[in-house]
Amino acid sequence: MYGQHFYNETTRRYVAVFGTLFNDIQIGRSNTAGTEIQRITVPINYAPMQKILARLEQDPNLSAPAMTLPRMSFEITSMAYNGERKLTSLTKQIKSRGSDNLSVTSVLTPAPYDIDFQLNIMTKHTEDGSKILEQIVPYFKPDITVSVKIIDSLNTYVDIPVVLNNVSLEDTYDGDFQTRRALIWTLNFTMRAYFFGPATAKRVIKFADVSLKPNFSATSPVTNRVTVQPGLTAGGIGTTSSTDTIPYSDINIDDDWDYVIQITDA
Amino acid sequence: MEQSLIDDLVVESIRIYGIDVWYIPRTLVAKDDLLNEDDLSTFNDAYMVEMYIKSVDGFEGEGDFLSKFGLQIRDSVTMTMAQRVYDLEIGLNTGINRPREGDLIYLPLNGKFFELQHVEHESIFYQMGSLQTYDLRTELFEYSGERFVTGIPLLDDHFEPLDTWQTSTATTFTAQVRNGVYYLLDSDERGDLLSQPAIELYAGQTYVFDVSHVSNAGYPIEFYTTNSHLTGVPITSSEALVVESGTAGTEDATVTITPSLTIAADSLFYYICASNVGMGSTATVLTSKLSVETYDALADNTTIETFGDNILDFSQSNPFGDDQF
Repeated sequence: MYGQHFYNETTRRYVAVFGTLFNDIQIGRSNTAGTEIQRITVPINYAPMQKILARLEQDPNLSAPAMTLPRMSFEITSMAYNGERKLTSLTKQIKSRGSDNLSVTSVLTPAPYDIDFQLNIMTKHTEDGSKILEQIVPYFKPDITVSVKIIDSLNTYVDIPVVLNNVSLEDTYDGDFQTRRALIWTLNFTMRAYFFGPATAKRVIKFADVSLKPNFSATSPVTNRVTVQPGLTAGGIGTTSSTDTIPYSDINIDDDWDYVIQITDA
Repeated sequence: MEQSLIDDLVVESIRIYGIDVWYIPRTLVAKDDLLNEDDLSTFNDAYMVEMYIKSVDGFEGEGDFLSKFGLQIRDSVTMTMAQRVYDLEIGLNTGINRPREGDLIYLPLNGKFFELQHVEHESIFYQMGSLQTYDLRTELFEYSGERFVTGIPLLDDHFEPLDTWQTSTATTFTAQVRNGVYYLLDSDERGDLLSQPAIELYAGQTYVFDVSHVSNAGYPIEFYTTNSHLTGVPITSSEALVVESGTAGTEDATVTITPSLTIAADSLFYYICASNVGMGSTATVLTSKLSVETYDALADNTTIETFGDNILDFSQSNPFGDDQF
């Protein structure tokens, strides 16, 4: 779009970020004496997948059981623009220096989008579901915020709140004996996300030269000239003096420079 | 007399037209009387009996489909079993008067377990005033950490490759020495002790070798990373924690080993007798089952973690501090 190709892998990152919140949940099972007998790290996966891979990976020998439980899955269900979080469009929001210190990479203000995620928990036993759920809900009041590096070339982290909207339970325990019981918790979240445009790199401006005219007429004469540049002595100390400074082309962005501002009459 | 004749005919018919299956009764271990469920069921016995498959055209049910939780296989099948066969082959041994919902049937045809959803005892309605069969309505088993200790490896080890549950309590190997050879038996198994079996240990899990039997006197078990008698390399604390308690062959003597969680998968240990040549075998260390992605083809836990580590900042306790958007 607009003649530029770019791909920041933003959605992919949000998927991983969401999954990271829940990928280390463990539950244990205890006997009647209260001694823990078994423990499991609850498997989690991004639910949508290629159908051809589903059987190839999960039933390669055609010997799989109906399924293994407990497990969790999550998916993106929708995405909507959130105008309440919009910032000024033309401001360059994020900057980082190139490794050569000669350029600065920046992006324009990101577009604020709310991404709705759904987390599903399926267990064989009610207690397994409760053990998982009770490790999740205490952290969402109603949101938690994570810091995410959205664009690799900009080594800056963006705070992304994840809000828990609601929790529902489907338990098909009743009915005839031919129908299998399914115990599924569904948690709906909203991730307050941002989508960034292309990152652009521009060289660092080290010398600015402004000619001032008393009015906007093209024929009006220049009355003053203002130049701005970094100032640094040969000893590495910042200076505001144009006579003490070394050439600005020799000054790096990391140096302890100061501003040299000169205003002269034309 | 007529009732016995019908019984005989039913049993004979099922024996001719049916197939042999394993019937595996469920044992409730930790029934929760509040939530009305048992999440620690075990299956401790298996009985081979003949059953007639009523679903002659194939499995019923919803079949295979892709759900939010990956592949689900909803095969169901109805099997008929003679009541007299149940009473004689199973009921007499278990003391349970009928097939019970929740019991399992292992069907050798496809090598899968089916769970009894419903037992219909009146499908053939009181011929000559009595009932001869049970119709067992079964569904393909959903596995959730149930433990199998039937003593039949075909059944006990069936879910081992898929099992993501780690045993929280220590696993005990009973050790004896017979004719200068170690004999071991895992507490999760049944049957006789095995001659110097190659064993598998899961990282992070504790294994206790019970060497209290008098035959172990003079044959202490030690763990090495090489199979060299006397000159072998003992296991270091970074590889596994080994604790010896008591003297082999005396009461309560044990050797405990806990492979480190950080040890490389498939590392090879040796349990050998430090003072006698040729005693012992290998102990392969497998990845902890808590690393669920190793054992569950669908799980993305580690993949997500690895990706997340590269883009998430866990260093700031205050996410609204400096350098934030």
